[in-house]
Amino acid sequence: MIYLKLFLSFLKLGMFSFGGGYAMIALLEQEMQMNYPWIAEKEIVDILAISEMTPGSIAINAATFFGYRVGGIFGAAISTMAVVLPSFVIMNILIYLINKYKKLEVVDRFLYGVRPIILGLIISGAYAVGKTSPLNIKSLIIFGLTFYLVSFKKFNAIYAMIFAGIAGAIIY
Amino acid sequence: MLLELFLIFLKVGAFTFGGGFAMLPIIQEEIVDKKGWIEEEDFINSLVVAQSSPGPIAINLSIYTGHAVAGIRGALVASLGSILPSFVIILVVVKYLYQYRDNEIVDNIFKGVTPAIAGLIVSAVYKLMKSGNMGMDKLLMGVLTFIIILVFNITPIYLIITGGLFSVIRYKINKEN
Repeated sequence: MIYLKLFLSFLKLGMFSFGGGYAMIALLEQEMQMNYPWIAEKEIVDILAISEMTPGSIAINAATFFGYRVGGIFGAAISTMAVVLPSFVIMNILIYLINKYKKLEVVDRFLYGVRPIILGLIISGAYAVGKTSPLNIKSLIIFGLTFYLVSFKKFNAIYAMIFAGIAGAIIY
Repeated sequence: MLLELFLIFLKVGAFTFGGGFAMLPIIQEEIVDKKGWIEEEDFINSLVVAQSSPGPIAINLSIYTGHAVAGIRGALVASLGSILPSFVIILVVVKYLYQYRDNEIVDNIFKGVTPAIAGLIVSAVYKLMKSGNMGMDKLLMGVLTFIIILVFNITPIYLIITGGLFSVIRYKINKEN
């Protein structure tokens, strides 16, 4: 029973969280308070902090975290599956539609018009991440150097992150 | 190929700090540049679809890319690969490391990593522009989009629809003349 409840909670979360990440926090809070009032408000703030320090999307991290708190490892697995399921179904439908109709001129034009918007969305993604780092010359140098090396010198993205982490531990 | 796909997305999942867009540079490098499994044009479409569907962008991107490479099975393998690292890491964190969340060294490492991730994401913009033959006018529209999001806090889906419709209408008008 508890697993079914978890499954439904996170299915709902996966289905109604458009725009990813932070958009779903309010929804998560509501869901947790309604169904699991014994989970402290502070834990929702904690999961945000943990999400920043660990890889993966906030939705997955939150599903794993709260699923575990409510129903152990099995609860974590159920919740994580539930939060991904709507994406999986809807994405497959969208992919089917886009492949079927992308040869149509109207659809092609539509996608063409969206391209600069996507550039903007990616830039705002960079801004959202950059905002969390301290605003000083060290950050600017790491930012600029990473951009330069990866864009023009074919430097590996994962190595860039590892080096930046080591640099952070040394210079701060 | 499925195993290769799984391993790539395991790597993508393990190094995606800071939300969906942070995984772009890695997918671009592994799937588009190195393997050539999908073309840059299709890669841009993946972003449109990932933004237009509910759910975490990171997962949506994995599903789209996996599907483009190997159909539904590819989608399943890629999303599993990108979920697994965070699943395991969160379990370890909750069980053993919860008390270290205010550790100073961890904090300093992240002070170094976050500006690098911002740099990586901006370089994904640069690569997309170069390979998609997008000029300064497109970049300008992109920056404008960014400012609109920043100032008005609009859900991206409305901007996607506006941009797409604008382009369709302009095309129709041009054709009639």
